[in-house]
Amino acid sequence: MRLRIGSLAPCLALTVLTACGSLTVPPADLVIVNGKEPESLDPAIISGQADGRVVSSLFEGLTRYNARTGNPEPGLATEWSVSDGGKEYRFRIRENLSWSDGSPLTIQDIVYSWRRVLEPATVCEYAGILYSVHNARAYHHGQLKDFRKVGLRIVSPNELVVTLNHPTPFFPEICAFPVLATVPRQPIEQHGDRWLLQPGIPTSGAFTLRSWRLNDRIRLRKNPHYWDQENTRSEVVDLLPTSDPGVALNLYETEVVDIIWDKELIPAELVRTFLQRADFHVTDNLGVFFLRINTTQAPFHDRRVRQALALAIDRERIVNKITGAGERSATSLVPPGIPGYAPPQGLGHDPERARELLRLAGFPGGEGLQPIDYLYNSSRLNEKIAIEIQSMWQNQLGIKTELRPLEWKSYLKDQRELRYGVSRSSWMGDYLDPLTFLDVFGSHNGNNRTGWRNSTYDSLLAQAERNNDATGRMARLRQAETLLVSEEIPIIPLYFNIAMEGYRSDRVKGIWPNFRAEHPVRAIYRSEPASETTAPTPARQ
Amino acid sequence: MLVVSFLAFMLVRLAPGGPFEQERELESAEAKRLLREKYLLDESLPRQYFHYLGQLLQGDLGNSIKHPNHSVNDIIAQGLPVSILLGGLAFMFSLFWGVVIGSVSAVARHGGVRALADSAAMMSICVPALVIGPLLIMIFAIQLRWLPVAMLDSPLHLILPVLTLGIYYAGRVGRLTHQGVLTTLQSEFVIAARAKGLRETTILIRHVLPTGLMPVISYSGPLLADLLTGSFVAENLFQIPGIGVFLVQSSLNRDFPLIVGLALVYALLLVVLNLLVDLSYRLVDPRIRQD
Repeated sequence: MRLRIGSLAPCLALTVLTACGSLTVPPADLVIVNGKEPESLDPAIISGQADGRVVSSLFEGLTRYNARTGNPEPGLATEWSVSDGGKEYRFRIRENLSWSDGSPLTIQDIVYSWRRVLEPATVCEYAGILYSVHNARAYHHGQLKDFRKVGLRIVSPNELVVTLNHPTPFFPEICAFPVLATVPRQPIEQHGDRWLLQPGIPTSGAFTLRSWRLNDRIRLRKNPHYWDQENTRSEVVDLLPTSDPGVALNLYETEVVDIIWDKELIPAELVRTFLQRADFHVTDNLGVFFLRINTTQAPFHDRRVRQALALAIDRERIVNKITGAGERSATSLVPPGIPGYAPPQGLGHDPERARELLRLAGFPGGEGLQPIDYLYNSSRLNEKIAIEIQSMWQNQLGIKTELRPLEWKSYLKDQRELRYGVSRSSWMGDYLDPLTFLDVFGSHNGNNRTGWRNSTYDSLLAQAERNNDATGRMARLRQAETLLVSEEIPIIPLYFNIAMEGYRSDRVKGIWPNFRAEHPVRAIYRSEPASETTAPTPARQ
Repeated sequence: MLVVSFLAFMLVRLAPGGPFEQERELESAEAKRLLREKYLLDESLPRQYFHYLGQLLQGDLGNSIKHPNHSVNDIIAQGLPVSILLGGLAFMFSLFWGVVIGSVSAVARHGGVRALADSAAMMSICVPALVIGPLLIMIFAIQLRWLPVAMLDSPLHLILPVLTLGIYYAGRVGRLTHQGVLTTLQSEFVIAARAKGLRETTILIRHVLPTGLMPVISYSGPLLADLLTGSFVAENLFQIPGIGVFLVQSSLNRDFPLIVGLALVYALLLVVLNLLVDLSYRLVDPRIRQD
């Protein structure tokens, strides 16, 4: 029998039709463009804000973020008390807590989750957030093997006592950090790394994980056993991993999605246009853009050269001409707005003084200086900023700068190995305290990456940590920051980041601007009807 | 396949920076050591490779480093069917449309029709998907609102990505068809068929196309492999969860196991599809059947 191509056509058509038929996805109650694809939804393994937002929806810790203020509020713990001069926290755990499958959630699950964060084998990027707990650092570094010696103690089925090394006023906020959320022991031990892909995994937060398909969506469904389930406002929520600004805006403008909450998704060229619109909301947030200087390399080992570089930069010009979304120029590392802390006024724009310092350092008019190797990760924004700074240093100081864009991993490697002169950098704070920024430049912190080591700075941080008095503590931290941004200058702060979120306030409810840019999904819901001026799209059928 | 796996495995390790290069440094040296141990990165390259081969023989492509909750098998199992569906449809579209415009431009007697078909083929080749895709989105999804702008929620969502992906290849197929048909039209058996008084349409469909399409058939193997393994541009423009996006991302992320796994899938598809193409010559060309 001869096989004819024509006879294959119906089979092929049938296959295609069947495949197409299985595509139809029922719509969600709320759709959010969440930024880049989360690397993991395992609280202990997350590495970015996009991951954290999903994880906070699925799993909860002793405290959680308040939807309006972003401040910590009771989560799995109903209340806590502080004693021993701020070094002991006693948490009372809620009665009758359940996992999403209805099984009991116990205090042992909470301790298991914290222990897992500290186990070296878990490889938790954020384990350091628990270092204020007694012996946590030693356990995480493998120097202490007995977990019972770590400052966590179950004193009754509903009471957990945490002993700290030093007073940590922001400890309740640390407990809300998604990394410390409570995870289910049984599926983790049974399935290892792939536990999150198992159907029906028990969750401790407001939602369960309905599906997770890479580059498509994460679908959450309301957890009926969550202790505060009556305040979970949406039944089914889709979080889309979209890192392409074009796609994100197309989806938003055609009303396929309700919210875009990542400023990276607004193309720099369009930022000013979107700022004019009522549905784009800008708030300050806990991030800073700065330059690292390689202090191990000549001539940057001379702090006068570093100061001259900082003084020659006109930051106002950068925020007005390049970023343009309302960012504030920065002369300090810590963004203003942290309660009880006023960052020092670092080095501003003073070209005259910059030239004088350069002359004193032996390089009048930039003579005798090799071109500066300016390292940055390739992106249009970084390039524009680099070109602007290149021109400022050339015009004000007579110094040439060679720009060196690299893709992300190569850039990180060169930065870590100190193979640069000046390097573009940024940092997002994890909690509302100056330490989340200042700690980075401690002599032994792996994130320092400037080669700058200063015993006075380390000592000021240590004194601040030991200080029981809030005012005295902040004063020490301010002294440390003054050293960093006014005298030593291993870094040059440029501007403070802002958060930019797109949502129509008449249609989406439950989002309140706050400094942490924390918007718990449990509080957000779509208030119908949608705008009548826009035709419905196929995705909303 | 062995050569492909070896080359892919060794080459990816030449790139600067590693998979664990992060903005935030891991603070614990013990954690760093355990992480490298987990992925055998402290072993010699030949040992790592032989270990990988051992896994491969059991059908296990290893764990993704960038997406630690997913194995490479999971990622391919999620993305490949989508890429196959999208690529398969784009393949059918480009073959059908390419053969139509190629044949028309070769046999049309009317200069205007021929010029139109020629320009359609040339335009398709010259304008890249990166331009066609946004253009289609602008017209059909944003202005007219006839079709969805992105995602893969219904069969309707496939139309624009299929066109974006298929138009370029339709142009290529059109040019190949054009040349093949023109050459065949001058063959003796076509002259004989005309002498017998057969109609031009019958000559074209029954005698010219089966022979004239041989270059298209040769090309269809690599074409299908290209289309089935996903397209970074189309998948990215429309947020289609295929494996095309991973081909680029895995390299940027230095996700060694995923890069090698995808290279193997691509190579396997290429080999199988070329084999199928060789077999299909028998179905189409009467001269090969007779041999």
